[in-house]
Amino acid sequence: MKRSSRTIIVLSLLGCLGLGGILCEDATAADDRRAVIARSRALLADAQTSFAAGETDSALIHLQQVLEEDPANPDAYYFIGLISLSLSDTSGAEVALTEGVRLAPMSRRLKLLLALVWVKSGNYDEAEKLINEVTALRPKDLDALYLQGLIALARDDSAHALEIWDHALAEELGSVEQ
Amino acid sequence: MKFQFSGTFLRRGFVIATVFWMLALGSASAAFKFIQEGMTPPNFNGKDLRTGEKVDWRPGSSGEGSEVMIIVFWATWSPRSMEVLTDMKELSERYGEQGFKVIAVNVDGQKTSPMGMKEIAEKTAELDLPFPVVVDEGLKTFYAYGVIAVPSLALVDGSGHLRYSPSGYSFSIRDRIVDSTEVLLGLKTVEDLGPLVQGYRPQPKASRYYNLGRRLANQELYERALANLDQAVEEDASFSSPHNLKGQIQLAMGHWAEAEANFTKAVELDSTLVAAWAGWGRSLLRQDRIAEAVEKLHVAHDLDEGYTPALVDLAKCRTLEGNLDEAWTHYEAALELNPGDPELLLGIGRFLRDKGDIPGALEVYRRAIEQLVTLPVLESASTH
Repeated sequence: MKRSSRTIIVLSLLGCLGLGGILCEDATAADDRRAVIARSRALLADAQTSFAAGETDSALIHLQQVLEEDPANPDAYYFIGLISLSLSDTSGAEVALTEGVRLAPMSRRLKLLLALVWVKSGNYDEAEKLINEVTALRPKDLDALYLQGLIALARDDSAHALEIWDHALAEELGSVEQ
Repeated sequence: MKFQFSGTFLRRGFVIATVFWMLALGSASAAFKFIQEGMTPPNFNGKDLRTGEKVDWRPGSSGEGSEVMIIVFWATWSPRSMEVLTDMKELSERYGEQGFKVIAVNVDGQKTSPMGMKEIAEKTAELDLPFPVVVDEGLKTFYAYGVIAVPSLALVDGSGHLRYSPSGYSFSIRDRIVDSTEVLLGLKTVEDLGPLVQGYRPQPKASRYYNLGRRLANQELYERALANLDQAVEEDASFSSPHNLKGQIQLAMGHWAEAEANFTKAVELDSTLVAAWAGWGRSLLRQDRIAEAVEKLHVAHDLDEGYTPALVDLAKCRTLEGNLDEAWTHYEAALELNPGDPELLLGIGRFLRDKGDIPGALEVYRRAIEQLVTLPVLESASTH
């Protein structure tokens, strides 16, 4: 075999080994990430179970553990927001959900829960902006229309609230106006 | 080879055969739109809220002749549900060892949020129930049965047939459940009970086509559902339920005249089919034939005072006639039976809105929508 051919073969083998090394590293990183996701999912499930059983302290501990594993986990912020809301800690809910929306700007449930917190605290304009982002993609979203009705009610626009809710319910229930 | 039957076998066989023929116990009562007494109700599964274990119920799965299974459809927002569950707990303690079983199916809402689940779990723990409690996610089982009111009960015998399905709950219903249980478990004879009504048992193939049609209808695959129901009718010309379900589908599709024709056929075959009379009334209402609608709806109501769709449509008829007081009486009666029904609440909300009672209408609309949303519900004051 010519020297040049051997060189090409050796270099190619080295290149493959190098590439293999990179791929192995990627595979290892991917495995690590998958393990983190799996652990986070399990902890989130535990948090939900604890919350359903009324054990909010345990639920919050599980959620803290999720964030230690995975600081950018928007689901954890969602549940922290939900638990805070259930404990009437509106400001705690707002902080958690704002971070959740920042991490997952397309998340419908994070936006609507944050909008609910803002409706509760009287911040109707900001709530409306988030709700409109949801209805732009999902015009018949019942949760969003519910919140729109609450805002109309808060602004003493009963007629508009009635109209929103009648339409929302009719769509949801397939009910013909008699 | 000669077969010889023991005296005990013959006596038990006689009781079971008599029960088989006689124990429909008022097929005019109608907890379910799509399942009538004598039929095999749909199976379902879920997770027992108390233990986390899987619950997978299939009619007749135990293979035990002497068994009673009560399926209770209940909700945390239904005060009468708590009464039923407490009574079923007592009956479980009394007859549990003889084969009395219960599964409680929670039908709080279409979408169960984490806070909703918490509420259901808390109520379950508070009641300390000795039988499985499953949450009907997406109300799949609720729609499969065609549950009319909450609470509703299905009493299923060991061979997997629906024997009694009362809508609503009262002392007399409880007594009938006890009577049926004691007969089915062999603790009492049929002679001890009053006059009973025979239920219809469809041909097996017809039943299969019907069940398939029902499942397709629940998925809104109406044309395919109708095709299967036509097959059911071909297999068993005396089977009324396919005509009733075809009518319900035609109503959903807005085909009022076709719906009317199907309901007419259903009641020709079974004049006690409450859902068909009520459906007929609705199809007439949609065609603005109010007087005729009222007549059919009254038949449904007389057959079963707990059948809320008939009450709601009677209320709508009276509203159209301008008889608002009577309309309100019907709405109140329906609300008493089914306080969390969003469709009923929407009807009442519109009634109040049209009467000019805007605050009243808003309150009812809000109750309706809060049955359906997944967001945590705010107290009224907290919107300000």
